[in-house]
Amino acid sequence: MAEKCETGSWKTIKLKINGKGYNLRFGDDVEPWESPAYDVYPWDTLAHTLRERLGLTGTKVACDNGACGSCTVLMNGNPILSCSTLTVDCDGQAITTIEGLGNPVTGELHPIQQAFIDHHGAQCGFCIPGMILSSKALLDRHPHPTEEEVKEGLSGNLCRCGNYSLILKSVMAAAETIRRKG
Amino acid sequence: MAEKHRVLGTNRPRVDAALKVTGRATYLHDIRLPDMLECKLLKSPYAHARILDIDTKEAEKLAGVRGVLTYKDVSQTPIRAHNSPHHTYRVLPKEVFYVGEQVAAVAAETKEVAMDALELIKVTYEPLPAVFDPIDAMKPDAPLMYPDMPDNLSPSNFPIETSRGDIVKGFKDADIILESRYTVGVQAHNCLDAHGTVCKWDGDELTIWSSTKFIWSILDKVCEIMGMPETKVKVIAPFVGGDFGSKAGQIETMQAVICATFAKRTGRPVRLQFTREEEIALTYHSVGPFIYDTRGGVKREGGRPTAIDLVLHSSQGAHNISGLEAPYVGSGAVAVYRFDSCRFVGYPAYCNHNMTGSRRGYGDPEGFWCSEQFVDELAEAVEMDPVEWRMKWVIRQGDPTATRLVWGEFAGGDYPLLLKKGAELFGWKEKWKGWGKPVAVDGPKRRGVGVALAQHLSGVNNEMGVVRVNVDGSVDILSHAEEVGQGIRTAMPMCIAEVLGVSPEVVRVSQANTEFVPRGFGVYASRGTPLIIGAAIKAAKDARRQLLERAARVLKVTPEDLETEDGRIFIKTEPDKGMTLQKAASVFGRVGVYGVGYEEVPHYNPETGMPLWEKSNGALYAEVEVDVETGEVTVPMVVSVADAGVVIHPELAKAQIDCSIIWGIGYALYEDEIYDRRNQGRVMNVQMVDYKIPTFFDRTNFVSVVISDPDHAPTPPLHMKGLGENAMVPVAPGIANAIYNAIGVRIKNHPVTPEKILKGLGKI
Repeated sequence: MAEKCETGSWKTIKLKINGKGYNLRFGDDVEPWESPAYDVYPWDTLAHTLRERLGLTGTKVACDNGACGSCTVLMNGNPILSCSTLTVDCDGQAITTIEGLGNPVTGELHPIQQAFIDHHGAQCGFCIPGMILSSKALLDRHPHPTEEEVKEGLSGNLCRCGNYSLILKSVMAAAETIRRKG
Repeated sequence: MAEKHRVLGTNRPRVDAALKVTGRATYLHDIRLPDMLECKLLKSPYAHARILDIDTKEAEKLAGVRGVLTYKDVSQTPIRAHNSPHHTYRVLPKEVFYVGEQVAAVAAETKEVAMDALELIKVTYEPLPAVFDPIDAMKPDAPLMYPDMPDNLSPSNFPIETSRGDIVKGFKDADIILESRYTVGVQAHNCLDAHGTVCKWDGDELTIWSSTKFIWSILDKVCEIMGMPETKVKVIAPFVGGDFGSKAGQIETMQAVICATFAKRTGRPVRLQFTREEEIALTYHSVGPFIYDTRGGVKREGGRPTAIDLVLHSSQGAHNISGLEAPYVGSGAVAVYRFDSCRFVGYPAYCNHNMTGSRRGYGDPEGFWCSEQFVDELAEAVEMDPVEWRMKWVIRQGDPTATRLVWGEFAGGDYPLLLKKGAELFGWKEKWKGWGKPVAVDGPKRRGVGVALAQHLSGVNNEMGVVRVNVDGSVDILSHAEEVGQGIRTAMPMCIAEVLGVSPEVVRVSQANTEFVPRGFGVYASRGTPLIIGAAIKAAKDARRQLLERAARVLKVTPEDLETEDGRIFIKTEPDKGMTLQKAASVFGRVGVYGVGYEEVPHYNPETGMPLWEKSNGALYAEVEVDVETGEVTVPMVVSVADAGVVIHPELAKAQIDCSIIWGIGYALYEDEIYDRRNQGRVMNVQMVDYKIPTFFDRTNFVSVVISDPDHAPTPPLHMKGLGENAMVPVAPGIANAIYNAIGVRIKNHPVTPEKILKGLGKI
């Protein structure tokens, strides 16, 4: 938790997002619509900071209540629900969002993203960023999952289209690609 | 009909896949305009109340608030319902009809400030008596919701009735007559992408971005309510994160009028984005609850069905945004079998719970929940295998059938083929042990199997299509074709490429923007494929005709001598002689070629003049395991066979069936909005944690088969049918029939929860 420094000014929150460092000004004594507003207010969720402050709208908010998994991002490689995590609690942490997967310079996609394209994992697509990040966390830990383990690993991510068959197929195919690439 | 296709039937990647897996697909949720204000709604705590006054002074004074709107600030012109002359829903009403109906709106610098301001608005209500049950609503002493509707029934649509044959004789002929009451709850669409709208003015021109499947609906309604000409408003649909029937324009219009009014007053863009609670409790759900009183007769001899009589009481909620059509559609349930006689009567009553409207299958999941269980009851009464009974008595090509109460000829389908194919894949003969005999018993676990048929209309109304062949040989389809996840923007270029003989890679679908796409309807009623794509196909054929005429003039032959392939036009007999499509498009001045097409349903039988009801058809087999100690049901296997005419994209078509099974499992076993009737009829399960939707664990062993049946294909343009709704229809009754087979107790009240099973078994 960021606290007031001894000088009385507010602390800076440092985040590393998709490999890039951000120094975010934190405080609450200026209204968000006044100038100069703070980057982060004490009540801001990580999802809010990513989407509204930093323009990283790839992270989706569907239930805003920690129940659907759409807002999943990785903190130090672990999946977290960004709608239910305060930004101030992320100080000093490394965050990966959907924009951070693949190679932004070459445009090469992460094998999971490619598998979701090849096997039609996305329908409406709203759950997909969260689904892909949960899959990444799963495959980073369990490179050889069974279908049951994938279901278990992604059970916190809901797809209202119900495209679970093809999502499962996509993740299994991605695991295979990653294994082959070593 | 057995044409060879070049592009149709291939599994290309979705055109939107790369955007969606990288987080770059823009949904309404992601639209940020500079200086944009956020908007929030104050909602009614009463099921029925008159608003005597609203004091907004304190709210307006709060720092960061930029405006408050009430009924005093917006037009009281109702937002039109489809298919109904009766319109009751208003942007900000003077009288509220359900808990959660909007009464005031705040625009503020942040949504947090807007929410704080809501608490400072003082509303003086005069609470009025309310009614929550569709049968109670028709009683003489019931509180009246709308003064122009006696008995709370819409006068202009009542009675909803249709019949065929002599029903009195039908019952007289019967050896066995059965009666049953089936009830059906309501399903929330619960799209992950909740309704949202952004409005912005440029001078006197208004732009509306909305999460919608029906841009033209919003345009019409906003123009009517705000008194604006169409040329001053444009409506744009970005990617839509799920629809399932929920985004037909009425909710979006309410949002748009509020946002546009604030935007006009403040000179700033305004956004209104719904929360999950609003998505479930404020917007509409499937029409219902439904109560079906069913009576039917059969002869012992061959199980001949002599009569079926369905009387439906259905709640329309406080407002039915899609008119009274769901009971009409649900009436199709009496028209799938060769009953000697049938009758359907519907009483759609308004009640003081949240709104109702279209939802995947629209009336048919409800109708078939009842009818497909009821015909099992009839088959059991005559001791026939339920598959054999269906095989024997299901309608064939040319038999009378009805859509929305209109009788016509059944066309473009083959139920026995679907039944047979499904039975083979499922292993019905090996599994079915007979009535009252579960497939297997293992301790408290009982396995059972069930079957159900389904139909749903494939498209309604008409549609215009425009295709432009550009001077570089690429092709633009000008179309609203709202992409709600179904894949229409992937399928459409494939069909146009097929017609024009080009690669689908050079075909693009325009933005869904009312400013420049041809007028049409939305992506509902399984009409995207047969009508929106159908009209575009006709437009492509028109463009192709013009291109051939141009090429023929240059090549000094007749257009009939020419063929197209791989972006080239050539003389059939001399394939070396020809020109590129690009050349033909630019040969007489660089203006390209515009093709225009028009498509409508139904088509008619030229001989009899009767409508040809080319519906989507399906057959489903389900196996369930019921734990008689806990009442828990799992669905280890489902086989669903659907008839799609010619299949555009096999993988996406199959996914529509798979996803329908997932939807059907949730619908059969647990999805239902729960009303607290002692507390103003409020919806109690308004969050994802309370209103449960299927997860990965509902995905078990599904075998989804899309049949392309050339002998019974529907009429042109490309012999295609809608698919995404029909496949949802047989799932819940198929599962319910399997549960009955497993435990010997028929649960007639949807959904089949563990509690109902244990009650049925006499355990609680």
